[in-house]
Amino acid sequence: MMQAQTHLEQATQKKAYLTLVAISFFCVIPFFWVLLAAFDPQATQFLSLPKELTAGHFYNLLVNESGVRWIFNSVLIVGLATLLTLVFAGFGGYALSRTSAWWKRPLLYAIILVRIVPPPALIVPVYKVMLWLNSAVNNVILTLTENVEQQILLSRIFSFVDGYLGLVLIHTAMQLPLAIWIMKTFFDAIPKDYEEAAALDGASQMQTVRRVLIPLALPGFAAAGLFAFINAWGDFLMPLMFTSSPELQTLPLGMFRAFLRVDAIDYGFLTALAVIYTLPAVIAFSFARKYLTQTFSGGVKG
Amino acid sequence: MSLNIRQLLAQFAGGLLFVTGAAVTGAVAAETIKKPTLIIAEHRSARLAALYSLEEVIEARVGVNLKIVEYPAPAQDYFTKLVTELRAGNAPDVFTIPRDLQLDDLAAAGYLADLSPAMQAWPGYRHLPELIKSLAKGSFDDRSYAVPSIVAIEQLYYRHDLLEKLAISTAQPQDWQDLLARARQIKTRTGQFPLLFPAGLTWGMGAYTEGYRYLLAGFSEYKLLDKQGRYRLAEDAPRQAFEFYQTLIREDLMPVKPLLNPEPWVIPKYEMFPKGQLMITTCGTWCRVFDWGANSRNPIANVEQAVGTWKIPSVDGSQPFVLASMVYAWAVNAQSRQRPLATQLALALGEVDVALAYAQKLGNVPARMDAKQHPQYAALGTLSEAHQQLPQARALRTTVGANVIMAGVARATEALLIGREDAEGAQQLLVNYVSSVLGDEAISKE
Amino acid sequence: MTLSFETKRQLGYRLMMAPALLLMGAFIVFPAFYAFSLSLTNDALLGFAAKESSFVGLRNFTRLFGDPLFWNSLKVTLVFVIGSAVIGQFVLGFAAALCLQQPVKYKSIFNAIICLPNAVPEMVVGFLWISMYASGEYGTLNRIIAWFGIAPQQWLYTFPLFSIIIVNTWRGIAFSMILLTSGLAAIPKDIYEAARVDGATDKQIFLRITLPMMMPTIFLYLFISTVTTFAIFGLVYTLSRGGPANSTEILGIYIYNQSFTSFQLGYGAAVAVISLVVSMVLGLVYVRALKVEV
Repeated sequence: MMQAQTHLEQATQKKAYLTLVAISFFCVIPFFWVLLAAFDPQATQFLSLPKELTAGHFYNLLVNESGVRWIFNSVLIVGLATLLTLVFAGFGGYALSRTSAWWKRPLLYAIILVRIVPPPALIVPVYKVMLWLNSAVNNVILTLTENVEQQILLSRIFSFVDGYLGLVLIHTAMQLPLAIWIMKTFFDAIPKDYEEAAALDGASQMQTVRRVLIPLALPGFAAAGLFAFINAWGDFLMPLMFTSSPELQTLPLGMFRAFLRVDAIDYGFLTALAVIYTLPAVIAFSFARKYLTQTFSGGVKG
Repeated sequence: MSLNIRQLLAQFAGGLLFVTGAAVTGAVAAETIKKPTLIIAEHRSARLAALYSLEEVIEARVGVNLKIVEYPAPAQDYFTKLVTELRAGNAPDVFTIPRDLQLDDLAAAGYLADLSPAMQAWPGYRHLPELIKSLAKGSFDDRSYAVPSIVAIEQLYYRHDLLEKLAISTAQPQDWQDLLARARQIKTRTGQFPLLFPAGLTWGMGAYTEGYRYLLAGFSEYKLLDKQGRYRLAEDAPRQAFEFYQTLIREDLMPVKPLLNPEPWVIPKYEMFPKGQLMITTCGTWCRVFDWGANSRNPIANVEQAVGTWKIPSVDGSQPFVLASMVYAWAVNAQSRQRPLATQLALALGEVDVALAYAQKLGNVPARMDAKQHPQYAALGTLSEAHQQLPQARALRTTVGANVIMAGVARATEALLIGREDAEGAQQLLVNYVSSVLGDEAISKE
Repeated sequence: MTLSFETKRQLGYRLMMAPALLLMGAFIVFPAFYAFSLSLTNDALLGFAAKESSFVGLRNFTRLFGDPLFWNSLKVTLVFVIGSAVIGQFVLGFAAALCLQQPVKYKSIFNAIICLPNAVPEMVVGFLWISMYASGEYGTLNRIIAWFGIAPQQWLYTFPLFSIIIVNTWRGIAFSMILLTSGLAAIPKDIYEAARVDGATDKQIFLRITLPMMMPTIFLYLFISTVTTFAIFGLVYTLSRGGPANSTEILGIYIYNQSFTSFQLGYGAAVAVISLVVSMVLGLVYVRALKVEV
């Protein structure tokens, strides 16, 4: 009887191993190509074992201006968007957690619904909104300076279409609902007593937030920041819609456009870039993973 | 490992030096040369190569620095990027309009600078054939919006070598019936597909430009537009053109299955035609270079002799003709910050040496007739024959909404291909589609 | 006039909410409503309508309901969602979650490997799978099927929809595994032990205990993955752009193609309205059915 049971358990265990190995094989196999090709001097579209290894493709990224530029743009835009998301979501999440005003519940439901809106459904109206803002900004720029070079520089920074500002703000807006949700959940878990104690000591609301709440809510900021970073970093739709000049190209779009040069694709360059592009996302995800289940309550995954 | 760490570090340091060095020299260069900079969009490696080879000549001619920005190669990606930039006001100063029938839609949207005065004053203008001059104008306001550079001459291409071997006449077919009779003869004699007119959804705008248009242009009395600039789609000619397709499909004279594939041109044009499984196809001057030339996927040996050309027969037996399309004409962004200078650049790009450089690389012919006097003209080879035909060529004038007409023809011919509609149904489908997109008022009621 | 402490505090909350609301309002909420009014116009990126669009009533909607390509897109979306989210990700993720409940070794390694695809940016996903699906005998997948004696396939041409379903399944196993694992962990262990003592088989345990107890988690998973899959764009765009011949043209791609390759913004907005209505209905059903506590 005893033996039969262990036998049965062993069989189940074997089945479990087989299933896990099969699923893992499925999950890991597409990565072989990119990892090998990135170090293969003769990289092609096909998976093959390199005859020799080279770091040349990565080195090329550093000298090849477009590679450096794409990385820089991605880091700058996504970095700023993450930062803004954290600031606004920190305030918003705190207010939502602490207020008891009439707008609390409707707003929370509204945030759930906002998270469900599929971004592709927004592209047409958002494009129109961006066009308005863009022409407003460019009109201001034209009154500021008559120097064409300065105009171009200013509009590269502050334009909504094909400018840094537009991309940063649209990414921020898209990441805010989830980030607010996460922050609200974390603030909910921090007892109100702390703030009340601080308030009794004569601290202003702002001081309380800065000295008491932010340190306590750090894990919340970490979670919200990680998800905002991962999502904005991986997003393809917004860069596709709102970047066009080569100077503003970010990693996803730069790679995609390089891939469209059908007759002249440099697979070594692109795979090396893919590795560089993927690494931050994988690292961020490995930290974010433990918070993943906490984001479910709001309805949509991060 | 081909590199050890030290080498890698050394190379990295070298790279850094290179970058800073380039930045410094760049800054110095910017200090010394105060020429204005114009941004020009170009795409596809053949076209980029042509432009880079001319860059310095043009810079000197106009007195500007050129900044050449590479745009995506696929036609659709190029056009989407261009249009969204034009709409947002951050498009390049000078760019190309891939096909003449896209001009009206761009001009009507207000994206193109009116070049009329500059064009009239330009010495090159009088060397353009009337047809090309008119294609460079907006159909609705008669203003010139583009500087023509090269032209595609389109007609029928057939396997001269194989038909001779089969002792089938290679004489110019005089009308549609003549062409159909030839096709039936080929069919019974060889069992292969005689004829291809592009059709269907996946061929996209080619269903119109490389197929339906050939037929519609064959009515000497018919014009696609009425006097008010509305599309005459509900008439006899468009139906008869669909009937021609229907005949080809029902009598199995045209390969249908490959046209339902993704990339429908690959099998009939790049495989069946070279293998002799398809004898006649519509095509343009570029075909002998890109489709069956020495560097193509399945080259046809001795392509200049093996593949002959026929003019397009008309429906009523009037003179057979070739079609001319103004391709890649230069246009100026209406919102360019340096419009006068950009206009000068566009005109400079309309010069014969530029056109010849592009024409050779792309298998097209120069738009200007005075190209003949240029020393480089001989390099065109047999393309010069097509160039001679340009003054007598036909074109089917479209107006605003041409992209909708093309999409509608793609849908209508798809319905014919899969046998869901007959010619009359296909025509109805086209009319319905166009009026659902552009409104009833876009269709001529006469 | 001095404000009371409480009023000041309430004012503070509103101020803190403001930047977030402004951004979400400008870039999500307003556009979502604006899509409705755009859908009643002939707005376009080309032609006279680009300069000045006009009101056309419900013309875009009559066109849409009569357009076979729209119905095709709805069908493709449905198959894509069911194939990848409801079946693919769910089955494999549940299997992985169940196996990881067993006393197996290397749990964290399996876990990490299965999570890897989820962390990869969309563009790279497309890039990786274009190589996987590359046609000819050297394509990775073609080499794998060659072990079984099957001839090379043109995956993205011959089985386009199936191919993108596989890709999305691959990407989403991690998510379903993580969520379902948390559900499994919440089932008290003693119920299993009691069942075993009563002599229940594995199958019985799974069907009578695990599955019923997991139902709330499964519903949550199905809702979330349906909504996210419905919103996918980049993954399909980088792989197939909706082609060949519209066979993978999910709703998001159809909206993009109509708006930015056919340049018909009004019509694109009409399709977007349908997409918004479908997601909002899903959302409301979810909020009501699961009685979400906020």
